[in-house]
Amino acid sequence: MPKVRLFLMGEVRKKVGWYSKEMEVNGNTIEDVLKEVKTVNGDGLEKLICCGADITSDHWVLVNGDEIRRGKGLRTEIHEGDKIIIMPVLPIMAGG
Amino acid sequence: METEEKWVKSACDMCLHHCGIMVRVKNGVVVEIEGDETNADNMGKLCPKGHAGIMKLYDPYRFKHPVQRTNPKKGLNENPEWEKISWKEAFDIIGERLRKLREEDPRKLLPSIGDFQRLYNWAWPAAFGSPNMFTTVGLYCGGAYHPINGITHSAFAAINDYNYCNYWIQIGSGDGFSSHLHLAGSIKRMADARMRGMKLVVVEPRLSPAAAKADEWIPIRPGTDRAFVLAMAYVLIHELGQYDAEFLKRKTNAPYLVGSDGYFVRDENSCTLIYDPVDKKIKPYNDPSIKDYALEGVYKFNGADVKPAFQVLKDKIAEYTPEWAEKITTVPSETIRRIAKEFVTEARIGSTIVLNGKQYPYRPAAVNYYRGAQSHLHGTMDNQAYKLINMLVGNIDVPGGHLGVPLYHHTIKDLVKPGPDGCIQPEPHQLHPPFPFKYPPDSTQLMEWFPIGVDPGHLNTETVLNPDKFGLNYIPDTMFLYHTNPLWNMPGTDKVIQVFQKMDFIFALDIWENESTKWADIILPDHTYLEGWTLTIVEAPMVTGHVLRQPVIEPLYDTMDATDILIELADRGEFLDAWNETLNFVLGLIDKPEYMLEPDKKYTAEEIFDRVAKALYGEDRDLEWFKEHGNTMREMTPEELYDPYGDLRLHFYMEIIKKEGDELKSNLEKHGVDWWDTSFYRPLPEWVDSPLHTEKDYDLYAITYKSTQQIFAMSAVNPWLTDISVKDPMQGNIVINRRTGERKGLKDGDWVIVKSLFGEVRGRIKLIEGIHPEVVGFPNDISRFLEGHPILDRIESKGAHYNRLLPSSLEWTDRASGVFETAVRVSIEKA
Repeated sequence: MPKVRLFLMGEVRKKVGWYSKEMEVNGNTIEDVLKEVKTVNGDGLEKLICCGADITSDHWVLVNGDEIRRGKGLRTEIHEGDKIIIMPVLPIMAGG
Repeated sequence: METEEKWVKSACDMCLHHCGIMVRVKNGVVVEIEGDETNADNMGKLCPKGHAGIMKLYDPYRFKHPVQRTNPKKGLNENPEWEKISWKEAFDIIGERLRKLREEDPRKLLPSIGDFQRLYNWAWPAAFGSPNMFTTVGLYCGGAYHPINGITHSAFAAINDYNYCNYWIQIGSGDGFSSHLHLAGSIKRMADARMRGMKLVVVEPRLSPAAAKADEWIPIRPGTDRAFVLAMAYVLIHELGQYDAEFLKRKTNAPYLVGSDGYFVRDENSCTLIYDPVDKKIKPYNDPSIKDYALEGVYKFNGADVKPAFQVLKDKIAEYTPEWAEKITTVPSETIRRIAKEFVTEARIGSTIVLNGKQYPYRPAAVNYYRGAQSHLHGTMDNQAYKLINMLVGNIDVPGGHLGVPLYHHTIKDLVKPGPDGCIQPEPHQLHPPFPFKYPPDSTQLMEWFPIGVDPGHLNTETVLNPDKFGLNYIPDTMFLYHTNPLWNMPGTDKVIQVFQKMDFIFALDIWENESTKWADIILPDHTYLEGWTLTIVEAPMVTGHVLRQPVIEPLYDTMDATDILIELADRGEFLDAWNETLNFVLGLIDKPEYMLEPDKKYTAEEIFDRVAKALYGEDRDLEWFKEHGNTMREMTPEELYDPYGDLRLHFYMEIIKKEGDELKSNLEKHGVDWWDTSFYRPLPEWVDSPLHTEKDYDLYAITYKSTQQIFAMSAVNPWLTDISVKDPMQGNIVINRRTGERKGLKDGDWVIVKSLFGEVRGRIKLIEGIHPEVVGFPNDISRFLEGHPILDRIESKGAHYNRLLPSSLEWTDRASGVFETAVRVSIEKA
């Protein structure tokens, strides 16, 4: 049961109803985290931001700063103290 | 009368970076700006721009209060006929617009931002809900540079080691002389290195400040630097057989076996493979029984031929002889051979140095480069070539070599993460995570179609003007200009004008009227840097820490701090919660949740930077501490600078680039987009013919360049700086090689028309010896074209606007990095 800190930004926060909290996860992957976070409608967050086995192209999921598509996607393992950010795909700082 | 005098520590903002300054204030008036000797970044030095900051504060042509245009007509020659309004009126009007836009479709906001020291404010459109960016300020110089630094070093920028390099090749860069990373400190570091005997070889088309002070200047045809470097690689590998084989074998993926499809071959566990020449066996790259790694040869794997990545390179460059390169670059073959030999000799392959009790490889020869060398149509491969030549001598992030420079205060060691196949995690995106592919795209700069690129803001001229071609299902109608001037700083001026004409409403946050803010409906005037706040670090070489910008006097006029303006706009636009959570992310406050901003609370810039200071340095180094001490900048230690990768390998062979390109091609084809050229995605650099060089109708090349005294040409409204520009014949005129000019019947002071396939400009010509005979040079200093500005009007060649000569199109864009071709073929004639 790793304890992680979750940040939900933009539309995701609005759909879930909170911005940040520490939570113990019953599982050890991002998929487990998403199932545990409920939207205000009572659905698991995966229903909002996933399409089959992938995150939709409208969302980023960052684990300690790394976007999970580059790794194992929803099967990305989580560990005690991880910082997880779920946010819309918007250019936080564009340019170069 | 008693004189009240004080010195206040702060940060310069006369360029993108932030030298520490000491500001002398006498009876409430700023009378002097000097470098802060306690700041390890600039060590008390300042460039001309820094000293002239006084004139930014006291510029009589600043916006002094919010204004609204009364002339409904917009255009280059239209006077906005500004009318003073209150801040409340300005916020009411823009706030209503923002609320309506958010309800309708936030993507319709087209932001254009250029405030580099307050990079966190670039996230404001994202909090609003817009994915767009209409700027090329970073792309112009660093579009391909940043991604390849990210793949190579997990870095944002790079610089040769000022402390230990003995043989510095500089290609198309002003580092240490006139521009780029933290100029004042870099000039001192470069001077110190020269004093201890470092040799400097400068390769570029003109006798730049760097070339003028170099041991050797090698004039080169624009846009051919990659051929020069590939021929150097040829000499090292094919002629001299001198390269750092041990480094390549053990610290890079050069021994990994590559199949005929260009991908690494893998075993049943998806592990990449090497050939062990001692055991004569193919083995997984991490097999503990490996006795040696083959860099050369052809081997059989599953019945097919496979080769080490190094052999792939060796084969690829087999035709890149110095004689071949001479035809492309105009650099004599014997010069290329000599430079290659000097470079590899000075690299002292195999030598070591002990620093602070730790032994490091010592490679005191390195190639440094920037815009001129790689902001070209094949900029990705340009950058790959420069990294490759450095890797061949094993000098990446070791004493004397080529060092990654992080964007912020982190060290490379902080940033490096394990990636695929025993290599470091490639980090082409340093500003935001990579956009997933999407069709139709959301962003008007097509970021969803640039998996390793930097936001190619110029492509707004393609998408906004031809949305159907790209499947774009909306068109922006509201533009936000923030410390930027896209009409001046983007290529393809006529197309940029057309994008402006598509906008129903434009609001601008700036200090001055410029070519672009002149089109605004409302102006929100920012404080100057001597009146406002930030706590910052942006791509500082050799040092780390933060420096505080703080008000040295009370604001002179009815202006506001940009950060406070954006907070107020977020509140009026009803997305303050999203902005605060975004600030928590981009300012790193999420790392210390106790300092995070609460979602619905309005903070001031001063309150925010107090939190940032505490989150970074603890309660005892709060904003009050910074107000007194100014900065925490310090030299990085050898442990922080060197050998940051541990057991991880570097990407000599950039399979990641090929993979991203192939995936993009497949994704686009699924949506019927078969016209997008993905041939720009290659694992190794090579020479590819560019239309820049095959053009037959224009006999010359045009280039542009920065000067020490101007930040691009934004500062050309500063009388002290423009005084220098107009008195310097090299900076106040279009320049051409004397013999070329005379052959065309031109003489000093003639008015000329320079034409390209895409536009034409007029200016005065100066004939000089210090420029390649095929080149016409355009200093930034003469490029502004704002009408009726008394300082700009002092520049005789004012309006010789280089960007008018450039195309803004997909065709002239590197489809991997997003950078566009910044050289162009031209003809010249007497006006």
